[in-house]
Amino acid sequence: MSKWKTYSKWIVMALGVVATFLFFQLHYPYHLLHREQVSLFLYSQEFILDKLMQPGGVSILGGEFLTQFFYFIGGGATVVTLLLLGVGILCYQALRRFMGHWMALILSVAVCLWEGGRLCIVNYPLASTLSLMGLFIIIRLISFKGSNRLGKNLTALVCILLFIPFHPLRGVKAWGTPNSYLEHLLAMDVNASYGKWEKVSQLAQEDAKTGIGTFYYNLSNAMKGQLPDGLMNYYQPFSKGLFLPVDPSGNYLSFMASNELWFHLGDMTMAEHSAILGMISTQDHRSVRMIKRMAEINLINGDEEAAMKYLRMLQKTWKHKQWADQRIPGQQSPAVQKWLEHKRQYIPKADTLRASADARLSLRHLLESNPDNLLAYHYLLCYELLNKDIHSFAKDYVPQKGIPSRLYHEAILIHLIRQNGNLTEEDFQTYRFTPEVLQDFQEYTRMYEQNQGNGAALQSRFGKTYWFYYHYATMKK
Amino acid sequence: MNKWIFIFLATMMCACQQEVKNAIKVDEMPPIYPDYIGVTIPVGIAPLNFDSEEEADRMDVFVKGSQQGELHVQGKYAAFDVEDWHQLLQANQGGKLTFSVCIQQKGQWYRYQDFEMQVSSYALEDYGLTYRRIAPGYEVYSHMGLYERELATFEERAIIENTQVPGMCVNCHTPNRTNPDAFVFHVRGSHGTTLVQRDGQFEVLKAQNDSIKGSMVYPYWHPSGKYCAFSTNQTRQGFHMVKDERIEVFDLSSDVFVYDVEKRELILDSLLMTQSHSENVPVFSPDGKTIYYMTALQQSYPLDYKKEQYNLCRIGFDAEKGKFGEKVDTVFNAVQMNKSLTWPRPSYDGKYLMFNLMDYGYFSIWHKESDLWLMNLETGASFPLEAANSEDADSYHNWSIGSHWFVFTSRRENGLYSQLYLSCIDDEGKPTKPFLLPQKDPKKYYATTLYSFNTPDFTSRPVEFDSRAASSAISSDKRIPTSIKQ
Repeated sequence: MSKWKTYSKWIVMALGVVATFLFFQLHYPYHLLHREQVSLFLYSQEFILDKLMQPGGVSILGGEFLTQFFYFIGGGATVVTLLLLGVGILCYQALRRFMGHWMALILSVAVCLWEGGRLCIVNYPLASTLSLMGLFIIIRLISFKGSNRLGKNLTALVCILLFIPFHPLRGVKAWGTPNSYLEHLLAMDVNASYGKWEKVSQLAQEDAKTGIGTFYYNLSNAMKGQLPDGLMNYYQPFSKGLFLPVDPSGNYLSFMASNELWFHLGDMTMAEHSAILGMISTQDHRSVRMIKRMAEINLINGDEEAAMKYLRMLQKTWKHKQWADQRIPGQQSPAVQKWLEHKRQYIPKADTLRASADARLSLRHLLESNPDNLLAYHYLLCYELLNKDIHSFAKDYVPQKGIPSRLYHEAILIHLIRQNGNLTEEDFQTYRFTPEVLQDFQEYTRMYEQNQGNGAALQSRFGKTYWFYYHYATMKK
Repeated sequence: MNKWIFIFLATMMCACQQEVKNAIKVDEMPPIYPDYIGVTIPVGIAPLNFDSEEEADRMDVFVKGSQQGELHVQGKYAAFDVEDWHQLLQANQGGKLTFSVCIQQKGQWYRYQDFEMQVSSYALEDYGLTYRRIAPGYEVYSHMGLYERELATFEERAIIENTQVPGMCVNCHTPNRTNPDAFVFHVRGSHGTTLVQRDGQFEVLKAQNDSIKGSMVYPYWHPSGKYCAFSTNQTRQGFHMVKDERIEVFDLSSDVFVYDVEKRELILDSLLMTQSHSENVPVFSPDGKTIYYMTALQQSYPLDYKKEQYNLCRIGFDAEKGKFGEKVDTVFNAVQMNKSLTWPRPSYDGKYLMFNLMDYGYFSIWHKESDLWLMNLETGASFPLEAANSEDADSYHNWSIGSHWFVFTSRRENGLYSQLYLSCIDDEGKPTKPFLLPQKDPKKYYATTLYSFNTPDFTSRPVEFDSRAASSAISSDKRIPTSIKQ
């Protein structure tokens, strides 16, 4: 082989490695982080044997084993890069049996691009990439023309059994391309699961008016104690941006997102319900993230036996074992104990029955159990405001609770004027309106009357006020 | 060559078995999972393999039959050979097995007290169990199915899974007195239907008839196979705020009717379709002349859900004419006890009726206080099955064809996942301590499963069902309409 041929191989490999790593690390990291969250690899003899006994067991086991490394920053990109490098080298070596250097190189690059595209699919199993590598090994062995052909053919047969599944693997599609929208959504989801609310908020700002984008925008604001302050600065599809449905119209991502909200609100029944649905709706019906969450929910509820079921599973994982060890009842670290005490303050004390969609009843009940549950309080008020239910808002609004919010002042002004026609001295004392909000309200009313209800004239100055939302927001069909 | 293979295998066997040396005697029962200590088992049941509750290096188990035979196993957990186990049980029917258990932890052997299992003289004639496996939540049906399990082995196969028809929820599979020649199950979701199979042919019925309020939900076959009693329910699901009960299922209304399978006619009667009451879960008596069903005064739902309490009633049925009797009797007044009765199931020999008793409602699987009760139909006496009940929800029972064995679900292990237990009733109606459905590696199986078992029933032989054809029929829009008997 000429020097140029040798160099060309190394140049293509080097460029491919750098490009793949940079793409998955910088442009596509959350797909890989998310994939680890919806997998579960147990270090138990039974689990490993179960996987190995399946047709293509080495690929299946290897794929699930490698997925664990997606947990680390850079781990996913490294694994994917090395796998694609392996695909490229093995493909080239197999094709070289049948064709010249340049054709084999071009086809190998094409195969790598094709497989790289498939690796961009959110639930694409690494087992499929390993099977592809196994296939190239088999081709190479079968096409061997040396003296020990029997040995090579037997090795090829073993490789077929170990690497090639005889049934289609779930999630395997013929073709895939990067999905930037999903990457953005997964970025919000993964950061929410880490509790990185500033990052979620920043990502949500970039969202293109989707229901789930609004959901994360509101949730991240709420977690920072800014739910009412940011509410009118963003696209709000009525209360659908506060609560995602936990019903057959949802999918595992919306269930997991709902789980985050209900868990932080303190409604453990809904949190558990959405966690179970989230986990069961994933491709393999398992999710280490949801198993951790269900362990937390049952620990908060004091259901230690149920919690132990999940903790025992997590103790058989590599990366989450320590997490589980710290939460075993009777062996909990002081930090875990303190966290549990804190979370237990928010769970409801009295029972009632509600539909999963009846968010208002849930929030009211949470507040009855713990009036200091500010998250539930703000969600309740914002839920009512987004549904333009001023009457209920006025009943639930406690002016002395929390930091006064301009949103609530704007809304209560509508209520007071509708009820009494003007403001009394008592209203001023109760609600402590700022002069700015009163001036703006007068100006809004003046312009509204002057323009005979024409919203266009009001939008530039008052487009982000509740008054404008109240008058002009309509639900898109 | 053969000699070397033999030497290799013999060496491997010796290497796998360790002598139990210097065992410390522990004056306690062995800590095993599942808790099979003192249970009663039928001849023909799969090996009751068990493991140490705590992490252990090895277990050494010696089993001795009271009449004859013995077994010795050693390994990570106690795993008995299926054939050897069956021979031992057969040889000791009516007797007992004594288990001597040694557990090795961190290199040290511990010898525990022996424990016993009774081998019942009552045969369990059925071939296997059918059940549904579903995640413990009901509003979305992502992955679930109906399965069949051979009782003599650990073999399980799917009858139908909802991955075959996405979005479908399959409800309880109900054979006629454990005979799978005739069975029915209800499908919820966008492809809702009632599927009836008789003699290898299935029919996909229109889920609703305009004359009834909901679809055909809880079924029970007439012994002749000509009729199937159903309730029709407008079912709703609610979530509790506190963790103890989690989910509540209630009906805005429900009625009872009988479906004539041959004529595809619904036989209705105003006595079973009252405005003031919810009639629900009908079952035929073994002679087919009586229908037992439960009934509750209609409440305002979900506000007064705790006032929903069911009694057990009965009405006559004339199979010749396809007509109901003219009066309704109350058989068990649970409301008087401030309780609610649910899931009545008569034994096939006509002696007993098993039911659940709980505080309110009828969806017993999330009611911790739900217990199994037995009514002697000859004397009318009713009593709780204390030996079988637990602190958590025990429910969804069904009888084997011989009427001595029954299967039920229980959440006793962790309060969240329901599992299947089997128990035996003697001639006096006394139950035995139930045993958890055996699995090859029970600790691993039950520790890692994320599904609940529910709606179990016995099947006298393997269910023959073309699930692919059925899935395609369920997915299609074609439905066979039913009519009302005039």
